[in-house]
Amino acid sequence: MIDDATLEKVGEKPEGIAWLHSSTLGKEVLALNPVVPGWTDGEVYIPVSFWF
Amino acid sequence: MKGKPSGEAFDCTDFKTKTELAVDLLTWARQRGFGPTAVLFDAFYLSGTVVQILRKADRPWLGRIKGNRNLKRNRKKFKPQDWPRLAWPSKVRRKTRAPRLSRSAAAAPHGWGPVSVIAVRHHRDAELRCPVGSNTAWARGRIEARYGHRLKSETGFRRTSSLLGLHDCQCRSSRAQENHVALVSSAYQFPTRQCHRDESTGEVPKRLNAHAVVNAPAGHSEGSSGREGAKSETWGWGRREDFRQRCVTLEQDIRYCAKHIS
Repeated sequence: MIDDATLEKVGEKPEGIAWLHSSTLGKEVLALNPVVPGWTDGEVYIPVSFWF
Repeated sequence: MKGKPSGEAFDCTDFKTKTELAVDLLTWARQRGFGPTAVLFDAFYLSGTVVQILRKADRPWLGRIKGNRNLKRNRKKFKPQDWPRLAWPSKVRRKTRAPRLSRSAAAAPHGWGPVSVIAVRHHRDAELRCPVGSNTAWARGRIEARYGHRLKSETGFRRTSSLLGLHDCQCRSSRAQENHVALVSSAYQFPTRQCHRDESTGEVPKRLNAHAVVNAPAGHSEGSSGREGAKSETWGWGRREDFRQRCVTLEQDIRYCAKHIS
């Protein structure tokens, strides 16, 4: 399973931060956006790795 | 996204889009011998590049097709967003009629190979959602059930935020952020492995805390201390022996997960 997370941050100082659209909040936020591959068997979810 | 993206990423490597990162991750997983039953992703990642990588690796995949894509079936073209209108038999001519909504439809989008498409509309959804699977033998129920596993990742992100503070790192350097996410991902295996079949991951710390309070030695209780006026000592994880035992269990859990992943 491949998905991405929106890690919302405060301020523009952290490295790699960008304006992203948050579907949860319905607006653009300053956030990090790692792409996370995961493994699931239908009951548990295990994030295997992540790349920024 | 506001502003013009730069040619370089923050760590001075070439800038990569999310789709390119997904392709790199799929290649990485293939090189390390991951053999999933199917690869599942959102509508954003359903692009020709990702599908070609998966076809080359001979891996079945599931995704969600966007409503404005052209589907071709028996020399008839239709878009998923027009599916309800075209599937209405009395108002549409037979030549332009789409397959019935209650069944899966075999189609062949350009460059993707044969796929099986279904249309789902839940009560809260304003528009039709069209999950798609690479295997034309998959029926509607199988595609719907497997695509439903995608919620597990959303739940996982939410749990890691609420339980383990995925968003709470205030460091500015990218390396510190990466270390934080890696530690949180590793720590998430503990409640995942400890949760019972009938409880969620979020209920595990509460149960373990209650268990620790019940088994606490005399003189210790939640929020109490032996000294008068001192700051209250919380009793979260039980005795030191219990904590050590739980660390051993956690190590076994991580090994169990690593074994099952590989």
